[in-house]
Amino acid sequence: MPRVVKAQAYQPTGNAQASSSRSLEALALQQARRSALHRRRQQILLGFLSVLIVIAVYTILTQLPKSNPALLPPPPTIVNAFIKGIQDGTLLSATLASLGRVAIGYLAGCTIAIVIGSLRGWYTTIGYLLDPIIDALRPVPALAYIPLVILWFGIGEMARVLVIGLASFLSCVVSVTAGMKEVPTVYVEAARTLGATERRVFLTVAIPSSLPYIFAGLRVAIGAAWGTLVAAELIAAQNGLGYLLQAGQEFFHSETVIVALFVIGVIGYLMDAALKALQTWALRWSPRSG
Amino acid sequence: MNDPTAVPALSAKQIWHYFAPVHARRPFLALENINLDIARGSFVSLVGPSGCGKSTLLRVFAGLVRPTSGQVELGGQPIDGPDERKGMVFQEDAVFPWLSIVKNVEYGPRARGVGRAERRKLARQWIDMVGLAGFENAYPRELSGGMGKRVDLARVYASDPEILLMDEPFGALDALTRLKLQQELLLLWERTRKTVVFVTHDLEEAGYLSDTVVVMAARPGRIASIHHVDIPRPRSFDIRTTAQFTVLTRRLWNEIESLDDG
Repeated sequence: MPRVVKAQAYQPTGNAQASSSRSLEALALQQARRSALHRRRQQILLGFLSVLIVIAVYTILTQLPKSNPALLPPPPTIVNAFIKGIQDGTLLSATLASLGRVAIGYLAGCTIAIVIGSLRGWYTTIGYLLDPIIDALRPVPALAYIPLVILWFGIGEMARVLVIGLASFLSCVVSVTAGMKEVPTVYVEAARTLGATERRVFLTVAIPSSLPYIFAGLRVAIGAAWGTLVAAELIAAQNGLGYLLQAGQEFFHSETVIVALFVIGVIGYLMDAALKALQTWALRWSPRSG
Repeated sequence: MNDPTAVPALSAKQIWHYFAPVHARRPFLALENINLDIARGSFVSLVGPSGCGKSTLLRVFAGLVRPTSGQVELGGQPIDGPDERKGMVFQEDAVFPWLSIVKNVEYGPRARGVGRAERRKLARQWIDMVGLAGFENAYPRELSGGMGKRVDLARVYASDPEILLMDEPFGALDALTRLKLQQELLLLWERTRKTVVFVTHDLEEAGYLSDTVVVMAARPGRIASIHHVDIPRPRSFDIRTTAQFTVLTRRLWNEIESLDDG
């Protein structure tokens, strides 16, 4: 008979007197935290550094003997224009007007994109019906529809919101449909064998399973909507950040143009950051998040 | 009056099934004249080489595949499409990642319209049964592969199906976890006595779990032989070392080897 040697308890080797295993663990944890903190500090530091360099280079350019302050306003002029814009309320009212337009157009465009995109991605017959129309609309940039929108709807608020909505829809719908095509079959079959009706499978399996794609679409669309804003406000707008840009050019106030560009950039960044935070929260279950 | 126990839980009558891929020169015969009765409360395994149609047959039982011809009956009624009476456990990870463990287990009862309090109670009961108490509110991504399979089992049992169809459920697990889950599945089966049809590649697994092992052959997919396992229950790990068990697995292996000459 083969003999099985009695199992021996495992003893960790090493200098047991110098430090208990508990303090070793604390030390390792501390080390890991410290290196994570170091990386984060480095990221923030380098980020600030690059902004500072851009400002410094710009300042030097404005100080060159041949520089024209009307075209390259020195930083104090820009800061003053910014402060003045805030004090007399023009900057705030322009921002609010633009945000309102983008909010309505974006929400409407994305809602329609999610509904139509998911239906055509999930139900093959609806897909056959809608794919030719949507695929024909898609390669045309939203801005190209402006002349037609003006002819049909005039130069009012409706036209501006419509262009933003169209831009949101076109950039969101593709991703939503793609998500529906990627729903793993095994989830669908599991739901069916648990007694789910077709409608329930669509609502409780297809939609949540494609949420990562839907969020990707929403983030592309917010960029598209905000990017189309300026062009939309060229349609005879009386207010808004795009209007401010145009007015700055007409009255030769380059500092106003730069301030408007700055505000557009900061708000675009903040909106994407907010959407990203919402995405992280809504997809906290996803193995790919966090 | 008919004796209800006389009606088999599941019965396949002259099932023929062709796959007709678009580019194939002629349709592929996946199942050739399958006739099989599965007794109520029994544990039946389908084994056989790849391509013998064992998974296809299971999907026909689930109503996920409609056979080209022939009829399948569940308790004497023809099967027409998938529903909660034919519960299924898949080899892939089928736990919904966007739902917490308890919501996953509740999914079946919820689809059937069971009230909130009642389905929550039911879910907790089955989560306890598979040894996942304390993980109710965790998301599947926090669980290991073995724990995910336990959720799968709890979910399908909570849905209270008439039969359980398992398509190589433990095929993707490591060897140790697989042994553990086999043990737990036997326990669940002995408590509930629900009919199980179990597809596997693993002859020892089939022998250890089943009352009946159906050996299938490939090209075309068909039933080659049926073996009854009369090892007494409840079974434990120890039976794997008995002569009876080794003889059984040896016989199954010889059978499969003799098929695999084509």
